[in-house]
Amino acid sequence: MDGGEAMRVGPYLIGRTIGEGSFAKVKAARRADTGGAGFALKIILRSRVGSDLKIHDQIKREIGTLKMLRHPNVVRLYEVLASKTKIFLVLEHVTGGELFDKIESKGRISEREGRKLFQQLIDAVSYCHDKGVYHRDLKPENVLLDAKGNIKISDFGLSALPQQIGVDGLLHTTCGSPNYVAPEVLANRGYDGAKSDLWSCGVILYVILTGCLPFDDQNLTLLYHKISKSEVHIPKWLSPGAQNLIKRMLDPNPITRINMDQLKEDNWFKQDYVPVMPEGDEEEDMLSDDESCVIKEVAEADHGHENTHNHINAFELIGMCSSLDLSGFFEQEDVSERRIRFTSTLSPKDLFDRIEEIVTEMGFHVRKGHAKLKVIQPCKGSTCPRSLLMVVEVFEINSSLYVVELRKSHGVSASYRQICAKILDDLGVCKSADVATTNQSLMQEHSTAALEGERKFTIAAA
Amino acid sequence: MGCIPTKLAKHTPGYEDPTVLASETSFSVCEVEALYELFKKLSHSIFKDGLIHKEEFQLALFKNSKRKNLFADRIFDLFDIKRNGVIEFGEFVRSLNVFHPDTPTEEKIAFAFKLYDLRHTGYIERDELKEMVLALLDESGLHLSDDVVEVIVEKTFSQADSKGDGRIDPDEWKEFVSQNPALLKNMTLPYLKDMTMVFPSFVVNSELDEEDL
Repeated sequence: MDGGEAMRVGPYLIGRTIGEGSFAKVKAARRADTGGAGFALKIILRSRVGSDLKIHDQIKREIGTLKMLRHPNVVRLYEVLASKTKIFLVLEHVTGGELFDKIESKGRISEREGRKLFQQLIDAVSYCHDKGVYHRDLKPENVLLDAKGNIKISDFGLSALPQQIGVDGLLHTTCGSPNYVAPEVLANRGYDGAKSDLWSCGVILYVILTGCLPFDDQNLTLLYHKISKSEVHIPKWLSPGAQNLIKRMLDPNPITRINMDQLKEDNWFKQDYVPVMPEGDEEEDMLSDDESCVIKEVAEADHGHENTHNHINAFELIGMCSSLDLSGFFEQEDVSERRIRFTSTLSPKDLFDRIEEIVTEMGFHVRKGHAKLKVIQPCKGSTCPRSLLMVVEVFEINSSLYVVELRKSHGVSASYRQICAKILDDLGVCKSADVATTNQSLMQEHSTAALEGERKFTIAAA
Repeated sequence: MGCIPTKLAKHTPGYEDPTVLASETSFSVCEVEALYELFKKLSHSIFKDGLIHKEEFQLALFKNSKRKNLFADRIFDLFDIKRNGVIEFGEFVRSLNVFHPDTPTEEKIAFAFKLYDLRHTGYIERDELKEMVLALLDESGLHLSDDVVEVIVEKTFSQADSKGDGRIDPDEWKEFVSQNPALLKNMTLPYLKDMTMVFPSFVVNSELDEEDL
């Protein structure tokens, strides 16, 4: 199968080998039907893997993790194929090589260019952290470049998901390459995945800007010692801002080490920072940057409310029925978008006003749209990406009855649940008997609660 | 890899060859195998006989095997193509195919029509529409006066029954849906395009030859 002839797997035509590991080979591929290129097939030979349950679990975990991640700076998984003898992960093919190679060939990268790469790296890592995914093996070899020279993080195979977090809320597995690994990971104490990823990002920043490793020694014991004491020489020819940031990231104490929010407010980091929006699950959930459009929407909303809410007919009303939504089949294994609906006799204006009041009080921002209200995660500075938490939409059944939908967008589920609980509570939503129990699960961390489908609540006229 | 002498014995009575199911639907072979992982899970949740019983269906959708509901009953009946009270694997895949994003709209329109034609008369009647609205309101724990319900039903029914003969036929339905595309919203499940990643366990159990992919 290494011959010149193109092998075909499903809709993919397999090309040259682009990488090889102990269990797997990675080959370039394009689609036979559309001719679309840009795919990389990670081919895992089952004979090499054996029937070891642990490895099967790891493969499944890798798939489950990658599936959640859709960010321009993270290598994307498109689908998975499997035969009796092989497993194929269809990945995005990143053609610009490893960041490591670029640094090796150029020696080091200018602060300006290096900052741009570092910002992309942080964007991606921060996005993954928001999804509860910690890379744990961040190093230049896992940081690839696309044809345009943008960062793509690969190899989430060793990532730990929240379920591996112990009762103390800390991760308990040691992995990763020693030069990039945080002291608390080496010490094999439980550790905070977010903070140790930031350490590794600090090491990568050092490598980008200096072309050298901050911690290096032939002798592992000495290397470990250097890391645990954070014995690092930061060249004086770096700008003071860069020196300071590296110091704060390479703080051996994870508690005092800079965190993601602080990093995004760092002056050196913030310079020329243009955050990328992750690829949205739903187009309408993307925040529009077209201010004129927003102004128009608000203006519309100010003119009487007759035209600003959606009128729904009887079939649409029936269609909202939770029993007709089969997503319950799939949501157990998926921390996916959630929806809560309730009916209300309050007018859309009152509903929007009160919900706006509630979420603003909780410290979130809102943006009004056409019969919609978007709840936005606040950010401390002007530079961090505004992430959309949820969309509130009101549908009119008749002039005195409305259905309110609270739809989760990407981001942390916990805030969504908090907001929903508060809205339902403050609006005096009275739960009817058969949904009384579901209110409890509203507060549960587990996505299995989603199996119950949407929840129905009713609001008595307040 | 282990030997597989009794390939078929591993599967349940209604099992069908994934390559055949893939050729008849919008799913790829691997997606059908991933769906089989889902099917195994659902069909073993209570009775463990490899067939989805209504209680298991309700359990999957509502996390409650006893919660009866008009619409869940209708969906179950439509999935149960052979009408023998259980959903077999082949029925499961063919029915879910209606919800696949790549499935033609016509099939979705037809499925929705059958769903709402509660008494299988070939028409959606006014009292059926009212019954469904009432079922929904009941499910939501909302009590509306009969007058209000009448107005909602009357308004929609008169819009859909363009011929004005007191019942909605498939052509009128098609027309009504094309004017109100939101009606088909729940006839598409975006999840179905990500099956291989949502149920990655199939990679361990795959019995396919490479040329079948």
